[in-house]
Amino acid sequence: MNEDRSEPVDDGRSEDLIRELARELEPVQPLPPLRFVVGGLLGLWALVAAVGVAVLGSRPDLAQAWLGRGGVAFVFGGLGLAGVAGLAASVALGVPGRERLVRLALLAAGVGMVLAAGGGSLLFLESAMPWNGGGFRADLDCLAVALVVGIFPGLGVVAFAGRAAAFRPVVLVVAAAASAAALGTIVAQASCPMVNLRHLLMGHALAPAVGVLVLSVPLLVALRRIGRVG
Amino acid sequence: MGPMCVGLGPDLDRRDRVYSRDRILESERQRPMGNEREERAERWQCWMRAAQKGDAEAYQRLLTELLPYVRGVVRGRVRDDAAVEDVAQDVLLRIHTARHTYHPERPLLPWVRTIARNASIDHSRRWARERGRQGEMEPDALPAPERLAEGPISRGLVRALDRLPESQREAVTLLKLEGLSVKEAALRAGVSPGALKLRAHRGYNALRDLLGRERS
Repeated sequence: MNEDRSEPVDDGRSEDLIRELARELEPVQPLPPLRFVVGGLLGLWALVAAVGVAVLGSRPDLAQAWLGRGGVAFVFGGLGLAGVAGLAASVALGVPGRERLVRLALLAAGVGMVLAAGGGSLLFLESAMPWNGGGFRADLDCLAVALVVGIFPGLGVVAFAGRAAAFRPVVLVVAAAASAAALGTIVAQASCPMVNLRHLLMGHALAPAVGVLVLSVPLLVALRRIGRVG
Repeated sequence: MGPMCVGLGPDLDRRDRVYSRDRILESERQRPMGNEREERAERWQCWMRAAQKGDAEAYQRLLTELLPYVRGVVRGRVRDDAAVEDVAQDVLLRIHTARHTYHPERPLLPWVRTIARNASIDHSRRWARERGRQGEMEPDALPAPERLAEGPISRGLVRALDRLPESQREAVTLLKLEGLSVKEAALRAGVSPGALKLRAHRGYNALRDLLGRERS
């Protein structure tokens, strides 16, 4: 172990500092366990998602669209996994000593993305749905829904990280933005009536990448404004 | 075997005392001699919990015992012996400001190790940046101190410095602008080196926030 190599090299300054820190010590409230934080953020997302679906209306063939085509289920199951795991990773990035959880969560998020990509490939190879349909405007609408819904858990992560001690704020907000948009796009899929592969990929499956491009900077600014970084 | 948390201070609640006594009894009953590392980790964990409740005595003991461990972690990453103590003190300050992020039910050492590693990485990056900057600049090209406030970045820095509380501004000015050592600056400010270091650390954090806000 490293500490066994250490020798007393202090010239007294560190002891002064320790006395000073102890003198000004005040009680603190420890952060809640991370599982409660992640659970709370998912609860927030579920609430916003329910409101979103209520406002936008759910597609009539919801069950068929999700379960009828294996590829679609893979795409959104994968995005859901990536969203939840990415959210857990970004929360854990705000707390020292949780690197193992960060690694596991990022691994799970990666698996989710692979599943989503596999589902998309399956749909493409099986020609399970027509390629064209809708347009660029429809893609933007669904991406906007994903981002609007996603910004809530994204801001929740930032609010938590602002109270915690984020060492890698950029990685944290990138993970938060991608996972928030991944969760948001599930709501877009639940309300989007379009059945074509191009729209599924451009307007839905690309949401995490668009989330990173659009949400990362505002989330980073918010984190720097409200939070303790370092 | 150390006293763990038993009788350490009035602020420890019953749960911690019972936990500590149980642990002592359990370890005496079951554990073979020489499991010092585990005992020490439990003792530190217990002291940290007490510190989160405001027990200054437990906190002082904890930081004092942690210091050699912290130095060891820092030494693994910082080659410059003279810088090791500075980084170790930075770690103590980070532990202080982030103490609420430690979860009482989790082991303490991974938390401390991460903070120490992050501080060491920050130090190495700063050192590499400064070395790169010095390498790019000819000594003659460096501006005179009285001209520093003329550039746009420096004007922002001066504005941010003006907004700091007096004690923090004095600490930052003495250490960074006048280039005094901690000991000299503490003498000049009439406070202990520890207090000066604490003020400077808070000043750096506040400056970073103010400058970040100005840039964005």
